[in-house]
Amino acid sequence: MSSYVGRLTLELWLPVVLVALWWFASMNSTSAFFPPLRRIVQDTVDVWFIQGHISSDVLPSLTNLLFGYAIALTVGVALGLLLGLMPRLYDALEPELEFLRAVPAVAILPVAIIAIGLGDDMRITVIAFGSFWPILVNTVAGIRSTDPVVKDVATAFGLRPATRLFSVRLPSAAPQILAGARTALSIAVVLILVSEMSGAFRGLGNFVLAAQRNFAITDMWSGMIILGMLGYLVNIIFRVVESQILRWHPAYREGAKWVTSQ
Amino acid sequence: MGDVAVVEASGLGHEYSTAGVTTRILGSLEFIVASGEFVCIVGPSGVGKTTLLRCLAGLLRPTFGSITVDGHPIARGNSALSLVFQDYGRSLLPWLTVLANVALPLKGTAPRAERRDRAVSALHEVGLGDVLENYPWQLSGGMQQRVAIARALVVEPRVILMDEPFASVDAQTREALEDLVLRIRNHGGMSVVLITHDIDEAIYLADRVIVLGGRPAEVRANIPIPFGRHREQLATKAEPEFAELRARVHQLIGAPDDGRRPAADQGNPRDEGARQ
Repeated sequence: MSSYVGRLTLELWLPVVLVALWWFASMNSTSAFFPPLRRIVQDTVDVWFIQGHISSDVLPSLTNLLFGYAIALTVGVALGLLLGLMPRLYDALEPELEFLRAVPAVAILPVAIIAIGLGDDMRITVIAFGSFWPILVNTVAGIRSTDPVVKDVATAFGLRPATRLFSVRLPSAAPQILAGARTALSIAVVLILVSEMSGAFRGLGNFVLAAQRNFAITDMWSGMIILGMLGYLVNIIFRVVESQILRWHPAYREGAKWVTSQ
Repeated sequence: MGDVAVVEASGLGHEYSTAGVTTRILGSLEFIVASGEFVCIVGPSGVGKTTLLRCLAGLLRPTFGSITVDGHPIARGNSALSLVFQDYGRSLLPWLTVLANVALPLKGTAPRAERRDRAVSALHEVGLGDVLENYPWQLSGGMQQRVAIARALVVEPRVILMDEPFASVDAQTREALEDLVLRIRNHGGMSVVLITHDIDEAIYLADRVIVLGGRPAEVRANIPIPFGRHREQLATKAEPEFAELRARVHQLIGAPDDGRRPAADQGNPRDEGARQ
């Protein structure tokens, strides 16, 4: 219990100090661009929770994030499995894949707008495209690095292809796939915003941009606070899911009971 | 012990090619393993024991000759044969529980309830009925190797192959595991082929010891071990015959074979006369 409190203290001391600094430094600010934190907090509560922008702007953004990320995960892992299991195919496609991977996801935004339009399907596509690459690359690497002894086990016991795939290769690559998925998640959060900065009439990105253009600076700051909280929350959810999937992994074995008796 | 041959190797040879250089590892091996027989294969390190085992397990296609099990050529994933690896820490899947590890070879061949029942009874057979839902890494080394043995048993094989299975456990655990394997063979009636570099272990366990030697490796001797089915760590090893057999195997492993000697020994040819 005390170690839990200790860890929480360790994690929270810096944010607390920074917020306090911001609070006191901005207390008497008269600058239109850097309003006092107190007003930003009041405004955040007012705009997002009382006026209900959570459901009108955050929810659509979250939905796009979920769909885009889910597509990236599904296609990235499936294709990664295929390419990981067929090294020749991977080698044949590598230059093209490297080229596409090097294109910053932001750069495909204009193309996506022309090809798909200004709707949510365009935004979902951009999020999916950007977060797809780290998942693909890490899945391929994870599948390729399966321990040869583990492969021998699968061969010697004549495991069925489906068993081989879902009970052996995929779990053995899971740590690396999840590392890719984590990188992909932060890219996806960035892309929600970027994709909403053109042609969107709702969503967090649109809200922040519109607030800045209308000189509603406090609103703009409140949007950024909501964004930060959203990113943090999404990351926590990811960590919980990851620690469940990898509970067998040495990095997550903490607290597991060892059986010592023979 | 039946006289029916379960495993039959004839003219079995293997060579590797690296960078254009071909190295023959296994010469031309001839041997059989009878039904219910416990055969230990010994030889100096680097002689090709593991290559032989990989051929037997279907993990490696031999370059020459053939191996049959019950008259059929070895096929990958033949359930008549199962394998216990040397390195239990790597051969058990850490993401599966003990029960799931043992049931894994049955996946796709039997309904879920049957898989579970068979895995549970295999685990009871090795004395691990109480750690079904633990992960292998929560167990001691000896217990992990017993899980691996249970996984080999679950397919009800005709032959269990073991590659230095007790090389990385402590002495007490090792004796307990040796007796466990003897008990399983006596109870289940399957054949066991165990590869080891430990001469005492080979004589203690085997009905017959096959000594490999030379480059490429050949069968140097087929030594029947006359201790019957019931052995005891202290009593069996104290038999005068045990010491004789040990000396004989020792000499066979150490002795140079018709002029062909391990590379490390080739420095001083005059040694030859001094030795015998």
